[in-house]
Amino acid sequence: MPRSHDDEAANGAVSRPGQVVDSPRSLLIVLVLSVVLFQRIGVPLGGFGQVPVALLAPLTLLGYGLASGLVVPDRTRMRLYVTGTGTLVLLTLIALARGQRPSLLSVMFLVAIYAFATVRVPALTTADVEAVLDVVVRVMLIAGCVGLLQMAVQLLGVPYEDWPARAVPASILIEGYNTGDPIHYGSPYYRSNGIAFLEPSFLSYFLGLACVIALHRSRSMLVISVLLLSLLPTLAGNGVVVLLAGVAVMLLSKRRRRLKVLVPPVGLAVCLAVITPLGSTFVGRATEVSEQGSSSSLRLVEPYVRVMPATLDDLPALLLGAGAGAATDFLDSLGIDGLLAPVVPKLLMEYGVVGALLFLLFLLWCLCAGALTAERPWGVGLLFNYLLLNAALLQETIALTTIFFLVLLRTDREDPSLMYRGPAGPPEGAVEAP
Amino acid sequence: MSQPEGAEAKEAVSDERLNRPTAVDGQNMSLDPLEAVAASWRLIVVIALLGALCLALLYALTSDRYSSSTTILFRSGDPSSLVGTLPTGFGSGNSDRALNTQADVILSDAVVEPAARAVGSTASAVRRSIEVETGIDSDVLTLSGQANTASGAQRLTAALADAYVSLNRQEGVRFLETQAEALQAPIASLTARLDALTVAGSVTPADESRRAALVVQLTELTQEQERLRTNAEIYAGQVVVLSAADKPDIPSSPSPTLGAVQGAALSIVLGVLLALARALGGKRLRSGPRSVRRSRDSDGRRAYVGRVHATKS
Repeated sequence: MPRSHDDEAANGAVSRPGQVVDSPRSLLIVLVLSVVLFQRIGVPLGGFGQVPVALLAPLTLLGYGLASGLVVPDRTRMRLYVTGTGTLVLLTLIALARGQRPSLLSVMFLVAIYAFATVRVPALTTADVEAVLDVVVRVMLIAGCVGLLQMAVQLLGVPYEDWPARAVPASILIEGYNTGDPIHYGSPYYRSNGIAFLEPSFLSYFLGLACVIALHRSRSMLVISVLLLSLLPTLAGNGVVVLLAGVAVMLLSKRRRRLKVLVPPVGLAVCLAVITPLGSTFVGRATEVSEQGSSSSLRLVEPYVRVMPATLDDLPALLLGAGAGAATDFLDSLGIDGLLAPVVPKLLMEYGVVGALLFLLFLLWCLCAGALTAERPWGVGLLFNYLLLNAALLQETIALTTIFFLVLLRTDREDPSLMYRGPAGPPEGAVEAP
Repeated sequence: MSQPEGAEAKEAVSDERLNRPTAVDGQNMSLDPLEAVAASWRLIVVIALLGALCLALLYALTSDRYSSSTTILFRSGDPSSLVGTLPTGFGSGNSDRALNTQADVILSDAVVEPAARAVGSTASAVRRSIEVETGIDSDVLTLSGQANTASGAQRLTAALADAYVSLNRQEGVRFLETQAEALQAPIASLTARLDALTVAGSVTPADESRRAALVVQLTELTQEQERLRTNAEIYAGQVVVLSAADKPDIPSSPSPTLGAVQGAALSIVLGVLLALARALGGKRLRSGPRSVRRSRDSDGRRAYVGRVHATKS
């Protein structure tokens, strides 16, 4: 059914013929889809690695948004960004002057990724936010079904194959991820990654997010059941963390009644988990935190135990940092497979105390306001995933998704840093549209 | 055209319902990052040139450093299993762990001190100048040594590799010799028992059978001891130098040109951030055309799109 002029106006959009992205709603939809769907594609830079399309496309959209006025800078966040990233760039220059070998690409990535946290979408309405959320749920429903199909096909005897690796030149596929990952060593069955996702854990992460959104948006039991079931063949905990955190937040809010819809699909998922080996794998992963060398331990314990002493023992490094990229190099040099550098130890080791504190102030200012609210039950889970579970500081998919859902997908009315003045006249000199 | 009071109230209510910002904080709308950068382009150019110049100058004044490297294959396993053969692919169960242990061994005093003596330096200075890299899914170690001259770097790396190979061989030889020595006690015991039987001069069939068994055991142990001693003499160690330390042609330290490029790149970013900071500080608020358009939908509600530029205050 064609949309009426009233609908357009209600969306805060004024149609611009010939432009695909002509409203905050379409800008945000294209942005989130580019982050979710292009995460495996990169532009090769010769010997300097790859630049992910999941960063290039959003950057282009950000530039377009700023030029067209769909997106405007937030002064408070911009001040904190300029202070934080400016300090980090300065510290990188100092590191070069000290004869260290910081990764310039690393600091450039950081400057680029976090520019997204400095802007807001002034004409965004609640209806726009809901529309974007619904698109995310629909896309993840499709991705979840693809993941289920991937596992079903394997169970029918067709061996796993990474289709994009056959269809696309290897140089433009992002490297360094466990895209095809067997359920356990030597198993013929591979965890589902939904074809388009970097790893099964990324599919799980987005499915968990979509599940919380679906609960928040009171989607049907069928939708929630499919999303929950799709989590199983990923065998990853990221989505479960987002989901559990979201459910916990909703339990504490007025929306707790919406959780009733969870009971049948969770029961079904538990039954499936009990009668298949998937359940024991999940339980094993959930209780492995204290085990040295386990996936959880490598994310939640080991990085701090390894990085903190190396940083604290060296006073110049503690004050000025060891240079961009040093934390990753240090952890790689330990030769421990799966050891990640979460946000805080990475910032502390690479940029020292002052740089880390200033940048963390910017990060927490931007993200916490969007995370710690019952209006966005996915916030706490995304924040936990971003800060603790993943090496997310420069992982564009996780970082941009976190920024998108906690910062960009916020109407001005929800932004505590803005002084809403209420209905008033247009800004001085504004031109009335024809 | 002025609206009646009732219409204004209705509009406010409808805006509230739609959660649309009807008036945007003027402070927030005053910053256009693209224009802020364009307005401060001279500042950005000056900072970029300064950064490039400073870093290039610094690199030009800093003495060159040369880096030499050598690759070493580590074959894990019992030394006695390696004698006389060069196995190409055997697993120790945890190859990464074995290789990381070897990296620590290379950085230990047992290797660094002989290497330091060989190049006439101190252990701490050598330790600061070397790097050990372990390959992923590989049994190859890469040693790199740095010095102020190309030949110095080559000498340091070669000395380190020699010290490591030598230590590894000595450890293996000691292991084999210890095993051979451990056989000496049972050999002596068997010899004594054989001597006792000979002295007793007994000729019963049972004695003959015991004597023959003792001779067989003694022969086996003596042969095993001989084998271990021979192996100790020919043992080459668990490590094989795959490529000798090379003599670098060019310094590994960054050149002034690279410094200029790096300095300029980072300084441009810094300049852009400073330009934004200037604009945020209110020193570069522009006057110019306001491009905000006001549209009115069929219900008379207003929606603003486009950019607003603040006037100079």
